[in-house]
Amino acid sequence: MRESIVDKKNRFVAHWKGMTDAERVRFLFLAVMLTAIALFVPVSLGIFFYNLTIPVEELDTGKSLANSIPFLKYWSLFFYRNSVFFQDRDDVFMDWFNINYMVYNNSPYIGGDSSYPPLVLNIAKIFAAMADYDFGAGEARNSPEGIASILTFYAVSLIPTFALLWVACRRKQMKNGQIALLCPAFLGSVPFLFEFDRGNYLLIALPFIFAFFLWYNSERRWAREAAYIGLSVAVGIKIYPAAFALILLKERRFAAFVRTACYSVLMLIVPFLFFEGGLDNISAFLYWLTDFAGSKGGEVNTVVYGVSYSYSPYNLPASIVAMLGPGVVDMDVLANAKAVELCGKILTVLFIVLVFFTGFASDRKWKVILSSALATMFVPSISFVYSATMCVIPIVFFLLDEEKRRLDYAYLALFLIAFVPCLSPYLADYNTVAFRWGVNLANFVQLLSYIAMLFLLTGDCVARLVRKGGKGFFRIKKGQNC
Amino acid sequence: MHKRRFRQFVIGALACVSLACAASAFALAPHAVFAETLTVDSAQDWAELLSSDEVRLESDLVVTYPLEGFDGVFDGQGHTIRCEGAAFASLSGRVQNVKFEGDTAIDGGDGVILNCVASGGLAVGFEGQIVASYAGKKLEGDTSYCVAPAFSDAGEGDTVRYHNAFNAKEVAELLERSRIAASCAYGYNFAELNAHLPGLSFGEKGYAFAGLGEEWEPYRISSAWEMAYLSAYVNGGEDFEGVSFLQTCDIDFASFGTLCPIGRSDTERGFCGVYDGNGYALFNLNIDTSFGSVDNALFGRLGGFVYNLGIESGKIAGGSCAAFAAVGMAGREPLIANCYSRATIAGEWRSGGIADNYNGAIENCWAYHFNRYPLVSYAAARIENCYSNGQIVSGTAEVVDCKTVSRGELNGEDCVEALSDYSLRLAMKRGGGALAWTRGALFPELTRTKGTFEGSGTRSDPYLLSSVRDWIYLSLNVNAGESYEDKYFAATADVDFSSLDSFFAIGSFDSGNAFAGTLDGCGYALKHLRITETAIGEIDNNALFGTLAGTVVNLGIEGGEIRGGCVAGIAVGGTAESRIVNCFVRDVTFVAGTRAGGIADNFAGKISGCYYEGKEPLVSYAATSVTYSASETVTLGTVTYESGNVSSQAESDAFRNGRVLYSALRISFDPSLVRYWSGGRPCLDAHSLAGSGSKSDPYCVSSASDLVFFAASVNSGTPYKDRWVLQTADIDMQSVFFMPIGLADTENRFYGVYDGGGHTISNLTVHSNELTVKNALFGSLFGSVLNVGIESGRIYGDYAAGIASEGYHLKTRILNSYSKAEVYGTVRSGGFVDDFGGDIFNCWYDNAQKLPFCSFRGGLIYHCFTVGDVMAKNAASVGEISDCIENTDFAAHAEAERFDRQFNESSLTGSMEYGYSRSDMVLWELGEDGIRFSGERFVLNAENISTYRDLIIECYLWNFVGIAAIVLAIVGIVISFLTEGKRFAGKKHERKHR
Repeated sequence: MRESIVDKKNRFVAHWKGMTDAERVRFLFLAVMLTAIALFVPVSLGIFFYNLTIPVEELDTGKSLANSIPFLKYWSLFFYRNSVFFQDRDDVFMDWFNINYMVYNNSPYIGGDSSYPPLVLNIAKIFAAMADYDFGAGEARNSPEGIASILTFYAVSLIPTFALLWVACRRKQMKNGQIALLCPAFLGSVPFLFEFDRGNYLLIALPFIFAFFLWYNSERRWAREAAYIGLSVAVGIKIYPAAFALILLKERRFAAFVRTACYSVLMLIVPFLFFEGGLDNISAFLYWLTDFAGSKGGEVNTVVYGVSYSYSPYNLPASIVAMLGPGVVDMDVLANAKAVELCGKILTVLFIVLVFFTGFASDRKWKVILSSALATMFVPSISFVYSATMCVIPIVFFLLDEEKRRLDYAYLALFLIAFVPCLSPYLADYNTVAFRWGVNLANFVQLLSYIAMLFLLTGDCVARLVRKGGKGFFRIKKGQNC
Repeated sequence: MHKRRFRQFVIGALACVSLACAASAFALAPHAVFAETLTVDSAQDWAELLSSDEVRLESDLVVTYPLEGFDGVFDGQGHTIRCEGAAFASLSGRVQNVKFEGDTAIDGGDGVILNCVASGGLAVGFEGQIVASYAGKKLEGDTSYCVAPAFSDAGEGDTVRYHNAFNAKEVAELLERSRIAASCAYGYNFAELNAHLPGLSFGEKGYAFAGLGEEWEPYRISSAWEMAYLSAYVNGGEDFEGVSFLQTCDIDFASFGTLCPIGRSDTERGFCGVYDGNGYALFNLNIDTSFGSVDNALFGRLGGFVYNLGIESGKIAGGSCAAFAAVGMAGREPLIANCYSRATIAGEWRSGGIADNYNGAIENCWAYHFNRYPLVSYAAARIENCYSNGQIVSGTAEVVDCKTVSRGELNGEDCVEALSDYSLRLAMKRGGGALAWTRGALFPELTRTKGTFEGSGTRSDPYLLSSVRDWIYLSLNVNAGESYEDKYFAATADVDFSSLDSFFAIGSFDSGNAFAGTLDGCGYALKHLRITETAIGEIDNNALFGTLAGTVVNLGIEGGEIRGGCVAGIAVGGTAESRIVNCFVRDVTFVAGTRAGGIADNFAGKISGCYYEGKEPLVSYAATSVTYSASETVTLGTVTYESGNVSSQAESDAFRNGRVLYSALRISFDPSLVRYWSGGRPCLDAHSLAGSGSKSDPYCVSSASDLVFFAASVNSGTPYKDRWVLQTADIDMQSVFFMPIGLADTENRFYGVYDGGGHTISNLTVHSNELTVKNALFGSLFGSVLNVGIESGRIYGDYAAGIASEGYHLKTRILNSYSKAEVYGTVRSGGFVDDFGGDIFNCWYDNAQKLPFCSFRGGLIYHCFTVGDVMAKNAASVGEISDCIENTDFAAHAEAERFDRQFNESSLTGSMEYGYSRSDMVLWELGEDGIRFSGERFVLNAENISTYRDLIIECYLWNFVGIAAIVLAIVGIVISFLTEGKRFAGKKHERKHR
């Protein structure tokens, strides 16, 4: 006889009761992520194909669907980037192609305005050689060779990442089926969708960071060394992954920390020699780095109304201002800019302090990694959604940690809020004069979830401090290694 | 009852059918059933019928009473006479073109029966001549070229008998041959003889050749029969003067038989038209005395022209024989040209390869016979460029450039080349199609292909014009209908036309054939060009181009003569799309019946940047647009638009070049095609900037011409994006027509880096015109400018400035530069910039005008010095002004060390900030006239190390930091290895013992 629904439900309940907390957490994570992706993908594709019927010039912020619902003018039902694949047809993948175009004349700093570290630009040279950039980045993007090159980049980045994920999961005897489900769960998550849309080179740092956490504690010297070098490569690619070295300090592996730092210095400095101008490029690089942060984050309208797709706390006050809209906030932009900017800077400093505190104070490995990941997102004044791909690592270690507490369900909920793809209103109109993109609700909610993670970590550490005092406070619990 | 009705029905139906058939037969019956038929029953009937001695029958006759003793010419015109008895009795005149039906047609007499047919008997008791006629039965008389059934009782004589009584077609063919023979042998007017059709009926008189016989639509000869008809016509008295024939294929006489010579040496009848063999040949040509001619050739008597014909094989026999002409017509100047013969000449007395007793000219022919006959066996007027394996002439003739050759030599490159060359000149003279000679398997062959050019006709690989022949080909091909639209031609050398009697204009209005491509003279000239003839049938308006639909650029004409009604140098007539740019004409003699123009006449296109030396007006009659051209008399006809035209004496080369480029831009002409004028008398050179545009190998601007060219290339759409342009010398723009680099409010802007190299531009003059209202050195700057100084100049415009009028791009910068030019803007005047949103750093402006540094909108202006205000009082906006000194007296800053060091320090420290290295900046020094470029770029050395100690530290700090960081990192790695090794060794030990 066929099993009835009630029987199925009873069987599930029995199974659920038999699960450990760790298993439940894993189950919930996969269930929610995959369900959301299964719902999101068809809707997103539907909107994507619908948008293809609209001329590019009319596919502006909010116009395609919002015009039919005028009373939602400032909260127009325009499905933002995270929910619609390749929404901005003119700009898809351009982070990647623009970088490749920068290195085309081998003088991206002095002869250009690149703020990327030189190692990633040297890697970009390899990919840039695969397509023709004579007519610009856009034309390269539109060519078959260009698309092939970025797909190669994705493969080179993701295959090692998920291979290492598999290694980590197998160390904890996780079943292959469950490991296999983790791949689409992550690939369909918000940070990865954004990453695919933009094509940022950050993705290629991910396997190196993953490798670091897998082998930084290995008994084999060469494996340890490789891990340190891996992290330094990641630092050479994006600088901010330096925060992940926090775990070495926490474990009092000072020699390893110094060595990793030295490797990172070499990864940052030596690649300059492969560009026209050699070490002269350093000052130009620093100039453009500050110029980018200053100009993009410092433009008056972005200071007041925020930058969309940014998870930095610097963006938080501006996002609130944008959410409240005109009529509530004085539209004298210049007068408000200083106040909002100050709030953002205060929050940034506060959060940086908190992440380092929680990094040192957490007793779980995944919490230390999470603190480091939050540091990479909170330190820059603009930190786009794809920077949250770093959070894949702490989430993986979180899922692999067999010891669970009730509070871990709260972390799970926050992870899901941050990672689940969804549809979201988009606030467009009066932000179009700013840095092109206005604030959107889902973005804001995700930012809050990361901030909540930080506060949760902080509270966790403080509570533990109160309970245990200072003894063993700064050590990671035993059995945390994979 | 039913049966009866059925029978009635059937009968009625049959009756109807019968009536219908009868009606049909009635309608379809031959006309002859209802043709008018007259009946002659008496002498009186004949008398009424005959109005004169020349009778042309208009209808059939039924004759029951014979016409007695008729002595005129009775032309039946193909009609039928049905006679019960004889139709004519005692005929003493001539009866022709009649079909007789009856027992006997003519009874007695001694006249002539010509081209008649009789189904029964034709003549009885007749003592006269029967020529080219047919009799079914009786045929008595002196018969010539007659036809009768075999075994009939036709008489003897020159009678052709046929064997198949029922082959009507064969009978008709035989009768046709007879008809031809009648003209050829007896000289009867072929045009008066009706053609024979099968069934013993007649067709039209003579023969209708296809075509019109005109030069442009000649009669076409495509078969042996048509050649025979031609012969019959000529021998029958028609000389075809002024009529053209064109052979359209090779003709084989093998099945035809013997051809009568076209014209006869023993009569005064000859061919006086034009026969163009068109490169084809005659095969198995058989000419003998069977028609009564003695001295034989293809043309027994020639008074006209024969071209491009070959006689491959055959036999020409007779008394004095030749291949082409036995005798020339007196009082005429016949011509045999571009012909050849390999036929067997079997003259009893003389045999000539081409001609015998010939009073005309033979040009560019060859003859080869195993018997080595002379080319001309008796005499000729002139023989030029001919070849034979025998003597050239055995009698008298003016012989020029002829040669006796072997077969191998004849088919050798030299001979063939010479034949080809001459062939083109002949074609040019005639205005006809071009035929070339090529090396055949054994002998030179005529080819009908068009002249071809080296190259493929594209812009990068144009057709090359390097010799007279190439220009002739161009003329002939265009005149034959090839327009060369979208094709490119390029001259590769000066071409001297002295050896050519007359060149034919390329294209003509009458024929509608015009050159529609682009012809780049590349600065070369056509010398001693004579254009004195026009193709037959066309109006004699002459110029190099009879009418122009394309573009001519950089071409000159030096010397020569052009004659005609309306004449000009380059073009007489042109379409609205045509262009004449940067061309010159001088030392040309115009002999005009109506009017003459130096460059053009009645030209609907655009003329720009041209130069003419002569007393004629630049353009005569009318033109659409004439701009920036020069001539001594700049008078023009009715010109819709003219601008900038000057007297040639007021020009300098630099000024002319600038105007030429400007004019090219004005008419949307690619300035990269335009060449430069230089030298005492104008000559044209190509221009380009040295270098590849990279930073290590920049484009070099070292002269006024370079700067003008650079500006023109930017203004025509070359953005120089990511390119470097380096000025390598001070440039004096005195008397140079200059356009700003980049046209404001257009897409044509400069996006690259212009490095002045510490050099100056002096006497820069920029005028306002319809293309430029926002004027400065850079009209629209979207790139960077470094190390440039405008030492002096005057800049006019609506919105005028010194260095740049507008610039909005994020990376637009002006660094380390200065301007001392006077600026006169009718709306705004900025000493340095006007509407400029980019960065200006370490620059200065100094002029007695004391204009604002920036007159409208500014971006970021850092560390700049100006004698006036930094921003105009009514300026729209400014990004930021920092560390500038305005309203400053430069003399007050004349403390050498401090002043130039300030500038130098600033440029060196600021260079990196703007993405440039220190060595990109040219240093300053304080001279007698104030601050100026030192000419040197920053290079750290022992001399300046103390001066720039602080600067060194700042500039090289990051190099030190980088190297130190690398060293420290390596040291750190080593140390950490040493320390960590102990720690993990201990841990390992612990695990082993756990």
